[in-house]
Amino acid sequence: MNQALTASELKYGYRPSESIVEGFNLNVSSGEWLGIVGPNGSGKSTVLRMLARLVTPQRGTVSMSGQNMANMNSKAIARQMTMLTQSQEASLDITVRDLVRRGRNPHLKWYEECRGKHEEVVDWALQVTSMRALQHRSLLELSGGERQRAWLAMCMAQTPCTLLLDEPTTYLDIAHQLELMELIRLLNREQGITVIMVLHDLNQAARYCDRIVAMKQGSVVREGKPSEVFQVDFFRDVFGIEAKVHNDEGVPVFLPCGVVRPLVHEGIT
Amino acid sequence: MAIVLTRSTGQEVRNPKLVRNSLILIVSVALLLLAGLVGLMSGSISIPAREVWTAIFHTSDSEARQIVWNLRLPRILTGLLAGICLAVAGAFLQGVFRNPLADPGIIGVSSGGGLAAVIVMILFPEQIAYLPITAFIGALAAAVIVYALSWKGGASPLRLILAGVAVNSLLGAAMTALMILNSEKVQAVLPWMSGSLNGRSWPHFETLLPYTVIGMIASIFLLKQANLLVLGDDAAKLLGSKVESGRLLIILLSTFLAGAAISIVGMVGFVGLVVPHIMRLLVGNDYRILLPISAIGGATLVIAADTAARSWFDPIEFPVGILLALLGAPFFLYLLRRGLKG
Repeated sequence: MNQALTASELKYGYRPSESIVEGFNLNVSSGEWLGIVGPNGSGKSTVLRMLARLVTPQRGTVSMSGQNMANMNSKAIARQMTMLTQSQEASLDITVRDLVRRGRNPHLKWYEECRGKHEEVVDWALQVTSMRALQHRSLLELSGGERQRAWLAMCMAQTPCTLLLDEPTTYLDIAHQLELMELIRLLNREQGITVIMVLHDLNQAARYCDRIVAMKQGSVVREGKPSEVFQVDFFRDVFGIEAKVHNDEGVPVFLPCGVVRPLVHEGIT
Repeated sequence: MAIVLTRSTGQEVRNPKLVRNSLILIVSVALLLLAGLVGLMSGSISIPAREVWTAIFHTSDSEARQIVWNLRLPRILTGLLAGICLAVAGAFLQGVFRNPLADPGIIGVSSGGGLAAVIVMILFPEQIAYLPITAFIGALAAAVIVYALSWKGGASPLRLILAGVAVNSLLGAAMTALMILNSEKVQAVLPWMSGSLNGRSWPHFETLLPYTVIGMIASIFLLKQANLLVLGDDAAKLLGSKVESGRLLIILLSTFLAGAAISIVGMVGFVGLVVPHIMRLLVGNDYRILLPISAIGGATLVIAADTAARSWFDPIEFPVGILLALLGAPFFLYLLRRGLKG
């Protein structure tokens, strides 16, 4: 399998003495669905933002298909990778279609407008995210789930090879959470898009991800298939909880039973 | 990545905004023309529309020609340009700050230009001819200081606004101090401080015209960047946009436009805040429509308010800036409470 994304020895911290992320290494194969999990403050969102080049690592490199991203043109990166952020600008009064059109920006020269074959990609992105019927609605008129899908449609209009998602289901109810996860699965399986997702819901991570990377205090502590990672000792060591782990047709399902130790407030990001 | 495009069988929904926006555009152009015509007709002496027409297109020594061609027309055209500059600057700034309360004042344009103008008027009154250029430079300098102060590996909208508030209050204090220490000369400063088109004529129009044209051409090139920046810094970066340089260019352009306007007509506030705000409520956040419609709206508002300011209070020439605030503020509050979209 080709390497879609490689991170080596990433370091980031707000103060020189304390690092949020330190010595972080990651290899992501193209076409896989990787889930990054970990407790609050473990640095998983910071890692995702470094992979997306929204944050510049203080040390270490991120490479895309073997090329160091620090030396790449920002539009060239945006043609291959994008991210659905956790929350978006809320007060935007533009139509869904106009939002999705902006996803073509990395493919357009500065004087070019989104038309012709670019409009066909916009149609496709709206179709694949089931937003076609809502394309002329203003973002203000949409529900939270629909708005999330509209932004995902914009990401798809970039026709990325790699899609990063930062806790995309946080503000959605359970039905919309599953709907979004199914949609991502569709994009992953049928379009072959590499997915890297930070998520809180470990049962969803177990059900959907091919591989799990667990972080604690800024570096990777466990890595592997969901069934390998999600063991009783994992919940105890990484999250500090007692949990029962069941097997639901090969998918590990966990039930939290209690806290191992009283939670000390560690730096919560 | 392979794209599998399947045509949807469902009925396509027509874009309802297209019709609505075209209609709004037509109506606002009509309102602008109407404001211009009424402006030419009214004043201390009323001139009927037909005489206005003759006065503009036929050279003569008539009194109507004198009033329309030498007084009212250049004044209205200067107001038109000032309105365009201020409203476009405001529309851009509200976008890059992603803050509906942003206006050219927020980056120090008014206080910088104001302080420079007050220094000229009070300390060097014999150099009054250099007032516009000094005010323009003062506005630019204040904006550069605000931007530099807010820089910390990037200039976030929040830090820009905070730096702007600090610089504004400092320059404002200096301005007030100067005026208090020279209270006998304040009378000359006041009309400029509140913004006035009184006595503005062809030379003013000719000074402002190239700035407006250059600014409008530059803004066409920044439309796309503004449309990305309103999505938020992260989203814009993820779309491959160079966020910091784009924001700097837009701030510079807005400063250029607003600085040029206030150097000619004084500190006309409110247009840069209220016009783009109302227009955004009407047409949404897309700069390709928001910017032209704000320009037309700004011009209309300044022309209409100036016409009212000079006809209602005859023989006193009321500064247009004060009238704008007196009438505009309640209207603005009404709109905010009502919520145009319902």
